[in-house]
Amino acid sequence: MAAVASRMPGERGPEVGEFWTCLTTGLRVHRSVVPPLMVNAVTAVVFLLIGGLLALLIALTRWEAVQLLPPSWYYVVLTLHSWSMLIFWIIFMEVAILYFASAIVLNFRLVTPGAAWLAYVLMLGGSLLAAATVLFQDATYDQPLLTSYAPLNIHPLFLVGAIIFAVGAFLALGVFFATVWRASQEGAYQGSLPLVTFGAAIAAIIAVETLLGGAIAYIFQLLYAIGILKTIDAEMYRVVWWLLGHGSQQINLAAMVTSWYLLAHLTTGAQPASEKVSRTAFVLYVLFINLGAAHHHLSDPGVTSAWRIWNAGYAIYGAAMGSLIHAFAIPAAVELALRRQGHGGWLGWLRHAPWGNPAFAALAVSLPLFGVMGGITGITFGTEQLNMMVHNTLAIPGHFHGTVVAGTSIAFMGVAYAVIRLIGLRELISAKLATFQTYLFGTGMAVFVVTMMWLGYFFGIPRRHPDVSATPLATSPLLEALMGISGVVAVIGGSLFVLLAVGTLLFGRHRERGPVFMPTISGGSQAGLHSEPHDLRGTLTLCLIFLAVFLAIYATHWINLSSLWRIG
Amino acid sequence: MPLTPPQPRNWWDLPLGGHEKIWLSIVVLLGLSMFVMMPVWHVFGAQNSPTETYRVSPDYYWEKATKFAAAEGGLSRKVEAGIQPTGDDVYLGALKFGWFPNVLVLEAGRRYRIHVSSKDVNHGFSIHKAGEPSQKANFQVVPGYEHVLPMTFTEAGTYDIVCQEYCGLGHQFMLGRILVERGR
Ligand code: HEM
Ligand SMILES: [Cu+2]
Ligand SMILES: [Cu+2]
Repeated sequence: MAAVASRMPGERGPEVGEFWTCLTTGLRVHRSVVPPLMVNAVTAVVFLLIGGLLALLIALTRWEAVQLLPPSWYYVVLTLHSWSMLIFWIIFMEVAILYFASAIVLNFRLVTPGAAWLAYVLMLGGSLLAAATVLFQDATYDQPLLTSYAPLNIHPLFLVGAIIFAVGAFLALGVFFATVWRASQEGAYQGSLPLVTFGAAIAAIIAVETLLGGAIAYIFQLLYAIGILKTIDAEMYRVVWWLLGHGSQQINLAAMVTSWYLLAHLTTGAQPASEKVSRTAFVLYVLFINLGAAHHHLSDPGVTSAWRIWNAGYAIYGAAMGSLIHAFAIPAAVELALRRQGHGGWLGWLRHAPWGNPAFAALAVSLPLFGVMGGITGITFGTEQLNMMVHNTLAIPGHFHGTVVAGTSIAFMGVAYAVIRLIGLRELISAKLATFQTYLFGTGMAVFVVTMMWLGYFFGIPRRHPDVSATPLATSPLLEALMGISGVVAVIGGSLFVLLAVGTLLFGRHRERGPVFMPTISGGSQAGLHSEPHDLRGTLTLCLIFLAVFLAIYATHWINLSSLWRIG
Repeated sequence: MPLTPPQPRNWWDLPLGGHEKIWLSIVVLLGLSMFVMMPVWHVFGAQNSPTETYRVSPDYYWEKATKFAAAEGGLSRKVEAGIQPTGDDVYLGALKFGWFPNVLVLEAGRRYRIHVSSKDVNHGFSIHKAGEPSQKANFQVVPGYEHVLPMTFTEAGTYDIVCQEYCGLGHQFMLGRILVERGR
């Protein structure tokens, strides 16, 4: 890092054999990584665009003054939206991140580019098959939505598509592990894995467990769909499916947190205040992954209270603790970096953060929104007794649009901006617009999430519902309008991202292999970092404010619960 | 930095800062107290997610629900008037796209055991007090599982039942009602 900072920005990095050097990070980029990485990332972005356009239709259906789609189309579009977004956009992007975190961060080649391409073809083929099936299947089949709960009548080809996709994803994981393994064997790095690779490895380990759970669920369902199995246990399906459904959210979580560390570093030069703390927090994700999935069955039959409490509480909320630790560690790293650049004050350093830099904006929007919108509700809704007030209401999509959209998706957009410049070697067509896009998407999403939660929590409006006016439920036209409009704003914000990302790749000015977003400081070792006292007043204050909000919301939920009639 | 192996090699032994220690202690305490909160509510709280469940075949349960309705005179009555069960056990069956029986008349202040299960796919038993939108509770209804939901309605009034799990085209028409009357 120190050697890097001494070079002038814009200077071309030396090319040694198959490698060229990135002058921003000092990383050596091998030619074999770039094509699969970029193709996966671009595919992800295309799915984001498709999913976003479908989101528009759904948001305008749930806004009942508009009620755009009839029920039959609503379910088709909802299925395609959830798969394009949560599965295809997120997972193609994660594969790109895995290739970055292994080959590029370790200054190494992608060991089996052939397998990487095969993985890509399988994933793409599987997704197209699944999507085409739900689009063209005849009306005797049910739409699977995200979860395809047995014993719905699911088209076998959809399940085959999902399984092929999963096999491809599994193969991509193999490429990642093989690359890390070979890199360590050939001495590409000394000592422990870099934090970004470590975080990615955590995501990949969780992914292995998750895909195994998913394989069981889908294979059994396929056997049922083609008539080999005569019956299928509906509750068992739910429990096993959520090993995949929830596990994949822990993958997203680990990948998002990894992205946060990366973005913080690239934009402010931040380094984790303590590698020990950050890595332990990652390990908590792996240790407690199998437990968390139970929060999907808190209002189900067939499971005992002890099982629910132990599992949903992640024993003692181990995985949530991991996130709470990162939520401190990342702003702390930024605070330390900015203080070392001479910006002081209690919170004064915050004013000197690079707010106008799109990759920093992505961090600054995604981290707090994830925590406040997704994190707090995740823990409260995932509490045994509190769950029955929100189970299957709009508050649930409210919660996970806080996590995977405001959190993961925005973080990934920031990574995409950085990768386009770092690896794609193009100048963003407009960094200003990119920054604006991030704040616009974040604001739209924040309002959207709050209105969905409000409608779900205070009005009990169901999720996955094409027409609430057919029921006797009271609703709020004002909140629905706000939900619809903010949804449209978010889609505009998201589309702007696609436009900028793809536009830059096609028309952006070629750039030299220079600094990405001007990290203004040079490295310095952890030892240097630790010889100074850690002044983290600012971060601690921010976290305490968060804690106060958290406790207020948590307490409110219990108070509201106690106002219900007697249950149990 | 996060892109290179941690330095120095003994990074694990480096001490934590004071502010970090404060936050870590808070986090552990928070996790513990939220975990403890759930069993505590089982002891002191009046709303606990029911667990009593029986494995049944969907057809068997459906027969049970039908018999219940017939025994309580349900089949011969006008549906709108509802079924007034004499005992405390009440059987609700879910079938695309309706609840059977679809109207129940219950007494306020009496503890009923509301059995729910499905004859076909997953449904959702979502019960809402009319006029008070935030008074509601939701449970998954799963074929093959007879779930007993003990409920004591403290106030008289209309409680609407809607299906809250996607069960096919027609999901939105899957409605029922519980009329809670002052005790006789
Ligand atoms: C661009 C802004 C977006 C808008 C306006 C939007 C809107 C919506 C709406 C209105 C629903 C339906 C709620 C219901 O009726 O149950 C929904 C469902 C869903 N969305 Fe989004 N969404 C957006 C982005 C995303 C992204 C980026 C992801 C994933 C990364 C995502 C994942 C999902 C999933 C998984 C579902 C649930 C489908 C199901 O119930 O099976 N959405 N979205
Ligand atoms: Cu989950
Ligand atoms: Cu239903």
